[in-house]
Amino acid sequence: MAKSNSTISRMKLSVKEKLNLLLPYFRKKILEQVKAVALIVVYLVIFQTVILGIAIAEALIISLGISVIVFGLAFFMEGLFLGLMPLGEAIGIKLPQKTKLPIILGFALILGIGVTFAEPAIGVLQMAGSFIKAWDAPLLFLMLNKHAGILKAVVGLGVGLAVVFGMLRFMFNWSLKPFLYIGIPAALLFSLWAQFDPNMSKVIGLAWDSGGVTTGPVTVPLVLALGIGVCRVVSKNSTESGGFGVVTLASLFPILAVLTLGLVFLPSVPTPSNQADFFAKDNRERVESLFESKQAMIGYALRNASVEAQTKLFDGDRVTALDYIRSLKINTTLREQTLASSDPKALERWAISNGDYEQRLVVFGSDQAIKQAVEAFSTKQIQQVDFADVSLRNGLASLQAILPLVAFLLLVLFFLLRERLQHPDEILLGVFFAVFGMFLFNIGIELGLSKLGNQVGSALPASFKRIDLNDQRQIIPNFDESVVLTAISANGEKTRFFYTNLNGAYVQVPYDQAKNDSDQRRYNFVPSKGPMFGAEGNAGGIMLVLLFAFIMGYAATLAEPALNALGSTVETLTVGSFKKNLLMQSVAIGVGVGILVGVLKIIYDIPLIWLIGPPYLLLLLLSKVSTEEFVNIGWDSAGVTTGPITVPLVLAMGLGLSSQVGAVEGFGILACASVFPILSVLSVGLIVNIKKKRTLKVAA
Amino acid sequence: MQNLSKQTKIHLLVDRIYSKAALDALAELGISDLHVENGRSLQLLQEADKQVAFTSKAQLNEEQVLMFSFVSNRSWAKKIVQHLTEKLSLNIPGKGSIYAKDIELALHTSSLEINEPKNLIESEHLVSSDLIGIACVVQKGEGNHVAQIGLSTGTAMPVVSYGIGTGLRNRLGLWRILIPAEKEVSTLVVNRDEADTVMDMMIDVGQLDQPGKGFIFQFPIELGVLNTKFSVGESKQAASIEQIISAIDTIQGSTEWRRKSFSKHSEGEKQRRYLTGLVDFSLICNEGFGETLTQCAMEAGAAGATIRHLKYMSLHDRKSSISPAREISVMTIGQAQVETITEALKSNGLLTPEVSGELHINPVPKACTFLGK
Repeated sequence: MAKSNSTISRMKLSVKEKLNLLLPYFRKKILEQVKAVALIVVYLVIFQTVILGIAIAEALIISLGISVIVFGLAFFMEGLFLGLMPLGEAIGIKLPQKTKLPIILGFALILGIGVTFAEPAIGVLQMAGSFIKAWDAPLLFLMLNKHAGILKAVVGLGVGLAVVFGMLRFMFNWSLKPFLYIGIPAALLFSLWAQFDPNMSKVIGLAWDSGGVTTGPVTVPLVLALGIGVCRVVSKNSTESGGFGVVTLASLFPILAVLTLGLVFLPSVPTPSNQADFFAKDNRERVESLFESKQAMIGYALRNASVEAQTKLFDGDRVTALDYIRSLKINTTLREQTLASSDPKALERWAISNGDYEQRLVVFGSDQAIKQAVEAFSTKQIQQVDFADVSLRNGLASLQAILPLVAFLLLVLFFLLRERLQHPDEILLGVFFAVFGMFLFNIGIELGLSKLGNQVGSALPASFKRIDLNDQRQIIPNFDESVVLTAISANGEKTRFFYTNLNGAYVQVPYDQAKNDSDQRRYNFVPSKGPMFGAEGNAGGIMLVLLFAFIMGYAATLAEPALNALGSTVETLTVGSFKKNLLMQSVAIGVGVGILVGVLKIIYDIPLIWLIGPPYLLLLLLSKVSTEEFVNIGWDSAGVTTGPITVPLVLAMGLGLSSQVGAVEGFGILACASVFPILSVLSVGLIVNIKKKRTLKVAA
Repeated sequence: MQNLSKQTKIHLLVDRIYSKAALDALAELGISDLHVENGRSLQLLQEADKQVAFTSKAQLNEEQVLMFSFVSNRSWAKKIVQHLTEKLSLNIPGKGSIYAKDIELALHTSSLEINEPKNLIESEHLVSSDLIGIACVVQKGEGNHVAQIGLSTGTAMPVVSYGIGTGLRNRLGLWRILIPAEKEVSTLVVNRDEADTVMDMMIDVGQLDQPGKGFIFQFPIELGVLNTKFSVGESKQAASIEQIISAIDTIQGSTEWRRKSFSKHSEGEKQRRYLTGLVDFSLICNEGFGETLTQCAMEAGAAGATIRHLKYMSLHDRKSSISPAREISVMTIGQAQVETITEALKSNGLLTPEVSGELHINPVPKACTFLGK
């Protein structure tokens, strides 16, 4: 056994020498990330301020957040290359040498399930489905709320099986292609069938999206490194540089898993219907099964459904319904169960934001009390950023994403493989960098990129329709109906409007009776914007949205850490002959196109299956004629595209668009953003190969 | 030293798409133990392709190549080279290169077998002799820069591979992570009389005599068939320059006529100092032990090393303790240090089945790096 304790004297560096080493290193790493993030940030800012012409709210916090992202990414990437990836590769190399196949597969299964729980991708899906209504898509609602835990477990199982089959592939040198030829058509046929069931059709988007989001910035590099390690040892007598493909399977299996789960729940859920029928008596039992309890169901209806539908819950008896609300005032436990909140003011808050006049009256007692309460609740609109809370939450999340995984890997290394770490100090530092980087990075996303994305996303529909700018709302005092004018349209329809002086410019504002508080002589003014090019829903505006979607997808992808890691890995394995840049550019263009298509889906409400079916079929054809290596890399790059930078931006845009155009669910953009990069990478691969064949022909 | 056994190490370099053909040919030849390494070859892009290659200023075409190497008896060297040249048509430019260098196999694990070729076919392919290999270790990203000299002088098609440098870096504690360890090793094989000129040009281009820039050394190569395809692109002539070269080779019956006479690369006043009388001391072992063993060697006096990944293949499915994942640690040391370092490695478990190490030694007539002021 080689001895490890060195007798070579350690060199001591002076402080100046240390600084001389540290500064260029730091500058290089930071500059790399500035370059990666610059495009998307500059683009979003220019788009909002110059093209949409809306000032950026909270600019200070956003710019702070974005600079934190740069530092976070720099630390995180360094942590990946220093700690997580060497650890993964070390285990990959030792695993096949020291253990038997069943143990390797058991390890793979646990790892796959573990990474799914570590990276809270399900949260992303829940956010995407946050505004779906129970009566529109009961099955989807059930899976994302009451059975979210089961959904998570099933997706985890899918990823676990994917890692298992990935390992089997490496050990026995199986091609990825058969998995694709069987898996993709199966998923497509399943989805096609699901398309014709009113409940299942809503789950398709969730299923295909969950395939994309499960593979996050910790999972991908780790699984990749593990695979490369295993391949270096097991792939006997093959000169292929393997290790790819697991990510593809980890995108494919969850699709099937989620669809199957949907099928399991399908018989027990009510069919989608309108609110009133949904809460009617004969539907009650099935509807109640969607919720944790009867109270939760009532609470959901109170918060989301119309008063008419709420009354249906009390068998159409308005008085019982109001009595129930009255009982909430006294019975604390009942209130907490119903409104799912321990806030003593929860009922009042609900009454202000959701209740109608009679309900408010029950809660507050008198007209005067209502008025006071409305004022009290509407004044504290501005929310201060609570830095302690943000730090704590993100700190815990990043610890949770990385530490248990690293602990598991170290346990396997020490106790199962009985190996020592090669550079324990380096790996530990790397893990620390990864956690710290992810912590900063998550904070930055929350404070910077998400906010910016939300602003652009909600303002985006202004290009083709009129939208209200809620964050610029103001109250005009001394309002008097005498300033209101009447206009007449070409077909004789009369509308009312008034002029307001906004920062020196006279602006026409459509008059809305509901916004005029005549008692207080105040007008609740919400500035609005758009449509930018002529009429509502004009082609120019929609083109602008599509262009925005494409460039946003492209720019965000270039900043994705997992794709960066994949690109570096590919470049290293091919000793620089397959350039990272080429891969990233092709993937980024693919994602851009994918997001554009996803936006089309939302605006025109096209069923997802028609948008991803044909590209996937084309892909099977392309995979047939592509080399095994390109098939692996191409399909893997699809899985890594949807990461922590793209997802919040895509969601913000998707939610902004969906709420403006009234779509039922905002799923599907991510699925589109997964399929098109495969197309672009495989196409580039084919072009490169054809070119090479030609030059070789000239040689011969 | 009594342990040194005189062998030859044969390197076969082919484009990745010919890997299957190469493996089949090697298996048929009865080669069972071999190592493979990934590398990238560089070629110049010709005029016609210039507009396409707007992304890289250097106008280089990079392809992934596989570098096979195996040890055999010196008496077989020429026959094996000729056999594989015939089988893989290496005489056609662009198909690949093969060369043999004499090494001394100082120590080796009992699992290793000296490959004995069988089914050799008689072939009269022309073989160049009196060659010199030039290996140059620089920071990652700088490899192409120095390697291009081979292309611009028309002397060699360079191959670049990745390595990890150790040395000063490992003595800094955790501060080491601030110094990038990734290196690129560019290897060129040229005719003996061109070697010094090419090496000098590489030193100039890479400023290798300046501190922290890199290391370059020569090693003798007994014979080989080299790829002469230095550029790719549409050919506008009836025959490409490479085809003409190979035709004249055949007419002349040797490659002697190709020797170039460079104007002596004299920059007058600058007198460059070289290191001489060194040996290339390569340690090959199972992955995971390279660094610790290199550390031992450094304690015994070696200055530093470049470690590269190798893949071990046993074409005849022999069960052995040799792991498919291997490492090679290349050290350049003084002739006098060989014994001490060999002993140090041996006593640190080089020959245990777990490590399954082997030591290859060959002379380095000339080397250059920063030698202090």
